[in-house]
Amino acid sequence: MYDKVIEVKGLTKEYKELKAVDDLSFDVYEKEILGLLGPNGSGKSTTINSILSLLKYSSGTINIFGKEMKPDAYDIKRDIGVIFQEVAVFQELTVYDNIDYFCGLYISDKNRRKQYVEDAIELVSIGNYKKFYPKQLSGGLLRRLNIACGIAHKPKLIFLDEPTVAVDPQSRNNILEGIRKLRDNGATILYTTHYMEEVEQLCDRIIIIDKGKIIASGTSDSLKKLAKIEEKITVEIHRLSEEFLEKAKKLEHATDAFYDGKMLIVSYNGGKNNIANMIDFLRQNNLSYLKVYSERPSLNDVFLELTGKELRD
Amino acid sequence: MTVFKAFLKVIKKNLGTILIYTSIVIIFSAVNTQAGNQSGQFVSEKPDIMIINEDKGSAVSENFEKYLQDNANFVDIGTDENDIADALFYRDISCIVTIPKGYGKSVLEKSPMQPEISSTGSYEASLTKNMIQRYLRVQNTYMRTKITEDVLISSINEALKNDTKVVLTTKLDTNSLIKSANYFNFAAYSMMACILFIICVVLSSFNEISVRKRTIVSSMNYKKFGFNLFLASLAYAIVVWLFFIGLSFVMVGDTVLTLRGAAFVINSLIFSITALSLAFMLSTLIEEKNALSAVVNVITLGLSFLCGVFVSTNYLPDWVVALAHIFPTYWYVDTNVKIATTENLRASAMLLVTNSLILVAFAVVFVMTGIIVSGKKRKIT
Ligand SMILES: Nc1ncnc2c1ncn2[C@@H]1O[C@H](COP(=O)(O)OP(=O)(O)OP(=O)(O)O)[C@@H](O)[C@H]1O
Ligand SMILES: [Mg+2]
Repeated sequence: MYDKVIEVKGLTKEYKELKAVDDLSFDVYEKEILGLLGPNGSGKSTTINSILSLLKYSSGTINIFGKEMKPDAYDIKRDIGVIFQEVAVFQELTVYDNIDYFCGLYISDKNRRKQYVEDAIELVSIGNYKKFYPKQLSGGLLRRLNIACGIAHKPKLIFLDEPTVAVDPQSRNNILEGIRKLRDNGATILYTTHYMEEVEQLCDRIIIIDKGKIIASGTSDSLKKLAKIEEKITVEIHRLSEEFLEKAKKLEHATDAFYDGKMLIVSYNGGKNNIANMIDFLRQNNLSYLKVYSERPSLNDVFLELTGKELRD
Repeated sequence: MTVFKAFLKVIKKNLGTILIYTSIVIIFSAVNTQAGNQSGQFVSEKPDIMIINEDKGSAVSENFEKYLQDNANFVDIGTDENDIADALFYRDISCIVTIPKGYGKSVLEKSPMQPEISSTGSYEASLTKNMIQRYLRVQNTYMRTKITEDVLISSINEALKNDTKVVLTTKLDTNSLIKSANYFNFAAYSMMACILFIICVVLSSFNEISVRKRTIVSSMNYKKFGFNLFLASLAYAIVVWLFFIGLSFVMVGDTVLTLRGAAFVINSLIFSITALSLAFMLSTLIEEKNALSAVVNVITLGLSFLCGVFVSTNYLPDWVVALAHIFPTYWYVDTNVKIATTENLRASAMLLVTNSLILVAFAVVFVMTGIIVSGKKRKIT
């Protein structure tokens, strides 16, 4: 029907002097997982809250399902699910009752709701905790409950704002798996995070934002081209003189090298035998090393290239 | 329905607290009913008084003393002035009647001295005064006719025989009315505690910023949601009120079905609505959920003590009573006391209506404040 599920044009949100979101334009296509990647304070939550009409934005237009999104656009809201950055549940209700309540805000038919709540519980695998109260749950389980509350009504469009912050690896994998399942069931997903590994694993398309502006967008592979490096070789080495660091910089295809006292990291813009050449270099110079490994560039390198700073501090 | 269901579950989670608040009123009323029964029987029959006859030997004076002894409950405190003052202060007796030296002679000389009466100003004391007035009226009537001491005494006694019973009855069944007023006053504490605590807990859960964001982005119409929340709170307040009305039948059932009983009931309904609006205002003001029960306890207990729920305002310092005027509980208690003690309910109707309007005014102020505060907070920035 509609290819573009969300259309954002010229979205700007100002807090006094600060432009939290600055002239943002992007589209989200049906059945894709779009990742909004940016460091803390880059404007991810502000963007989501504006799209949802929770925040009054300064300028811009927002269409969802081809219609203008407004605070009272209940027909649009019916097909949207939101998982906010903060956990939003009733302390006085059990896991089951929480999901049932939030699902009930959308779905009044009792039997249908019962099925939906069970499906949501299964999706995030918290079936063993149905009768638990939120304060009895670990951080990871609480996050999963938070997600179940947001998606139980089977929305076509789902917003997830950093759903994996402060979550153990097991829960994180469970959550990412659940999100993939949702997409496979036909949902469109807008996912924000400051973990680059997550967007790489999960997202079909990525938008990188910084200080409220889009600085790059595309698939993971196309973005990595922006990093202008093809390979990164890391050597664990205890002592390295200035002289050898300069030599390393001059290795074939090497574009840069630096040493932080423990690791020597050399970037390359091409070449096939870089790691072999590196080992030769170490042997020839009688340098004793612990470990050598090669990596493809990461989104962090892209971010570094574009902004001059690391994605995570 | 969803909202109602969640509301109910939150209440269920806090049932323990409700039970505690409720049992307090039951215990208080039960104790009060017991105590009330004993003192009550004396009130309707005989007031406790002390008689000091300084005119022993005079037949006229002794006849007066005997009349008092017959119609009141004579308590002998002794002659120590301190003991007597204490007895009066602690309400062991309601008044002291002193028949002065030379009283009998003065009557026979047709210029009677006045017996001295020191009293607590209580209802019992006024009964005693009525009783004395009646005796003196009869005595003074016969005194004017020229008769001997013997004839005077027998005439007085004859005349009084028919009418002493009237002296001691009043149109008001004061005792059970006071008991009812006490019950409804205690209920002020429990009703307010139950309503404030639960409504604050529930509303702060529903209005907790992240939960509210979730509600706003949902397809539930936010105005409808707010209205449902209001209806659920109102329903809860009414249920609490009905509970205490039901309990009143158990505790003070004899009065509840009278006109005055109806006045108590209406007063408590208005009060519970005022408590509901106070709860609404508080829920918008208190951010920290953990502080909630402390705040609610301080407010309900504080208001109850200041406004005469547990201790009659008669025993409170004037400045406390003056201060209490700015709290709704004061007006509620004041109404209950007026209902219990006014001789003519219809004549006092205006006073009662005025008090009720003051309660309503409090409710309006609370609701307006709540709306202004929540309006400021509603914006999610
Ligand atoms: N209510 C507010 N008033 C003023 N400034 C705000 C307000 N809310 C957010 N900001 C600012 O707007 C900017 C964007 O904030 P936002 O919460 O959108 O960032 P974010 O990308 O979601 O960060 P995080 O990863 O920490 O969640 C930040 O600089 C923040 O300080
Ligand atoms: Mg955020």
